[in-house]
Amino acid sequence: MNWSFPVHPKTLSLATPVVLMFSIPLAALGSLVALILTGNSLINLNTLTGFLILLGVVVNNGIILIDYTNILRKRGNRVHRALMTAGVSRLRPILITASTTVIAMVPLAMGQAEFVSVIGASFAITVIGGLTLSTLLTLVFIPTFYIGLEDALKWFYSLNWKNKLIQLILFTLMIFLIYTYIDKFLWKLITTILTIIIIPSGTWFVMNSLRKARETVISTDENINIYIQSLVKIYERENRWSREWKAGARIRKRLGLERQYNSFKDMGQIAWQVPLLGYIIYFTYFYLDKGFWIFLFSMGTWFILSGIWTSFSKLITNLNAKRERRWLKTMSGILDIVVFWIIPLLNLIWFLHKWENLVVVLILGILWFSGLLIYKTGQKLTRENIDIYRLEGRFKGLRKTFYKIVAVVPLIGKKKKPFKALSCVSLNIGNGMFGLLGPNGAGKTTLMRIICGILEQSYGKVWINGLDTQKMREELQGLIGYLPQEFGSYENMTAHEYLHYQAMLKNIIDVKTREERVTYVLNAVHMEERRNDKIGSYSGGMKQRMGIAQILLHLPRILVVDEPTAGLDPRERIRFRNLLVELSRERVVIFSTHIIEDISSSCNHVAVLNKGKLRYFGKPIDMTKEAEGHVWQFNIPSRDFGVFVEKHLVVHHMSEGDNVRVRVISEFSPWEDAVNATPNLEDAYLWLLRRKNFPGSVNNEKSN
Amino acid sequence: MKTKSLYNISNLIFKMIVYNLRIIFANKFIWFLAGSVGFYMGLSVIYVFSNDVSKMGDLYGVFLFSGLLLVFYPSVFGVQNDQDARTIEILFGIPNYRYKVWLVRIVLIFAIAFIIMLVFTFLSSVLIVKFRFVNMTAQVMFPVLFLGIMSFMLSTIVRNGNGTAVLMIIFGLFFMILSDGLHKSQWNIFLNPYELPWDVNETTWAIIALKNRIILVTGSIIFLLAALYNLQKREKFM
Repeated sequence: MNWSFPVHPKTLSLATPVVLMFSIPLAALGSLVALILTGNSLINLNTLTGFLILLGVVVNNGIILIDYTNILRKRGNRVHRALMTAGVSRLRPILITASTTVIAMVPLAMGQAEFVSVIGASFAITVIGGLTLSTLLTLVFIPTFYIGLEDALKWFYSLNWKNKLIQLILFTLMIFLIYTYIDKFLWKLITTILTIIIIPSGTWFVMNSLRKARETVISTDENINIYIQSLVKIYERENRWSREWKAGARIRKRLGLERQYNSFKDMGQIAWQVPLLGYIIYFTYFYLDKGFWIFLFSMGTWFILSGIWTSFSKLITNLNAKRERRWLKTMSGILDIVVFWIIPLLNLIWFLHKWENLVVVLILGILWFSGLLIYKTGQKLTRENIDIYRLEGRFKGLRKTFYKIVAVVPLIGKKKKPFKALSCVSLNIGNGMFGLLGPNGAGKTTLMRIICGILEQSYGKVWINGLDTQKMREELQGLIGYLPQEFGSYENMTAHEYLHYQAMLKNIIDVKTREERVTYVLNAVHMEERRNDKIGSYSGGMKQRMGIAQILLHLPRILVVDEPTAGLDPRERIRFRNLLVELSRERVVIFSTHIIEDISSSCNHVAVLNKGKLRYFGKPIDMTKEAEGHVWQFNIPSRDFGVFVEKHLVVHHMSEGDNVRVRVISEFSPWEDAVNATPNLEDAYLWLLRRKNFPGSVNNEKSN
Repeated sequence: MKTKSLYNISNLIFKMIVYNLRIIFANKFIWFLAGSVGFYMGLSVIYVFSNDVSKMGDLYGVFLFSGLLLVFYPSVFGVQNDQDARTIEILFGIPNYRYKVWLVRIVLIFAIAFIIMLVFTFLSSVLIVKFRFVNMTAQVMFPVLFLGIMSFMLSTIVRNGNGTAVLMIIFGLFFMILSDGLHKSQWNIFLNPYELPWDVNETTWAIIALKNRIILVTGSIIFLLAALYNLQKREKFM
């Protein structure tokens, strides 16, 4: 399998100039905001001169970033990593270029003298505003746009000629209409750009939102084969940018490049932020006079102050770790309260003084302090790993409600903790009955949901007859039928109505066939006499049988059933198991269970999962070989049994006079006169769950 | 053979309508229906007893609100009801579930709303003031369709009925605030075609109203496609 993704030369050569071209409007946007903010006129000769100078610097920043990204990609880096590395390593030159220009322009921008304020100020403000916003956005917009455009071009190249031709005809038609009916140059330009964007994106949107299941995607005379390749599923996984960023941070830490604050000398690294803070305080609270802008900049000022304080806080923590200084700890606590709670309050008092509108200030205050409270509580929940559902102490009901709110607030709430449910599982499943065995939480349901396309894997692939399920999710749906472990139904409907509805959804259109099929499945699960009762009146076992009846309505080529025998009495369980075996002659039936007997009496192949890892893959009969030499039988005096059972895995035991006859799973002989016993499937399963050193799933695959 | 397939198709359509109605009416929809009827009846009674002969513009407002009440619950809470009933995973196992389940339901919701609105407008045209009730119903259905499908699309993003309801109320208020400034523009979601501004001639107004209806239908189609696209992301609904 080739895992490298070569860069398409056409894609790169076309994407780079377009991306750079789009950085120009960013500069214009920043300039406009700065001019409006300071009350200067938008279009005059001086602002235009400033804008011309600005263009060179802004495009240059973009070139620095993109050029290095392309170099990194040619060296073999993936696009996300390349952009991130380029951003981190080119941040300094970009910031230096921008900040030196901005600082140099500040005196001119703030000049009050008649000549300076008329000619120089608007020029300087254009440059400062444009450069500040574009520098910030260069680091966000350019990577995003670069990836987006490249993906779009890759998608366009992958289309067949018909789709390309349709788009070309539409595009030509639109251009013809634009240049025939629109007179003004500006509108011609805007509509042309919109056409370039809307026609391909609209085509993509329509093609994707209207995708349909196609059973013919695999021919009927071809046997079904499911190949699961190194499948990993991580729940609560962070997004791609965060993962790449954290991976980069770990590398920097390993290489000793991480910023450390161990002594006051180290604070020199953030010294440049202090004059910036001083300037922004002056600008916000003394220079600006419009309430809205004061509010926006006061937020910015507070964020810079919080950033500086966080660095100092780390220093104090590190100093205290070396030598406990009580006064430093107290001071740190007080300053923390001042920065996070008092300063926002002072800001609100300042707004009230400026605006004289108590209602608006109150709303802002509630929003600001709620945000702070959620952020601080979220940090506490993450740091102390608090289980929201197991709270003790006073006001636990109230705390639980609040913590639940904090947990769902994005960005500032509780940080999600990733959990790996499947760890590099590889399997090959062909026609026949395939059993998934494992305790609760082993990853069986996760694996089944991924095969059915309900969940998406974090890494790895699932191929059905060579078709990638990630790319052909909708198309392959026509081949797969799924019965989940826990399911509900419309309780106000009768079994007859519900099954008829499901049959219609499964394309059983002919009335006679549908009626026959519904009667057949109701008989098969022994529910015929309750046919006209509402599902809401059924017991748990009856509802389970309804689920089974529903999957028997239409039999797809891949049938996935998650613990279908749970809740059934032994007679029904055997009957249903036999039914599945019968069905598996012509199709793939994947079924999960933790009842070993179900596997031994029905499955051609079995996979044992434990804690997301594959412990065995092969024939059930060969599974017993895994436990050979690890199953022991012996007699133990009754008085020693209590201690023994706590330390060993006793499969079963029986009293024989003063002794107890025991059967134990153990790597080594657990008792002096213990003898090896012939393992059965249950022993093998328990041994696989207990075993610590696995030779690897590859060895197990050989047995298939 | 043709007769048989015709019978099968008609049976399928009839049964699909019946079963989907049972599902749609299973929860709180009946209360929204009652609210809509109550609101209509209340205002109609006021109109009947008032001396002022009702203006078409005012009636349009009454019908619009009644129509919005009808589609609000099923479009906002439709997906969440399936999540609550734990049927969503079963539905995900059905090929083309997006069309067969949710598209069918959303079409039915608007069909029911249209029929109920026809009854309302017919009653008003007989009891209050004579007007072309089919025309009025069709006009009312444009913003109802737009806002209904918008809320359905939002429910596939938020995946929570209450959250979607709050968002829709905020959007509704926003559109209402905008409608003051945009009262003569085709971009006004709540454009009332029966309220001709004094400074706009009838032909221009008809063109503005037509453009507005085209915008609303286009918006509805885009929202519907977006909803169908969002419903492909099964993992987000689990």
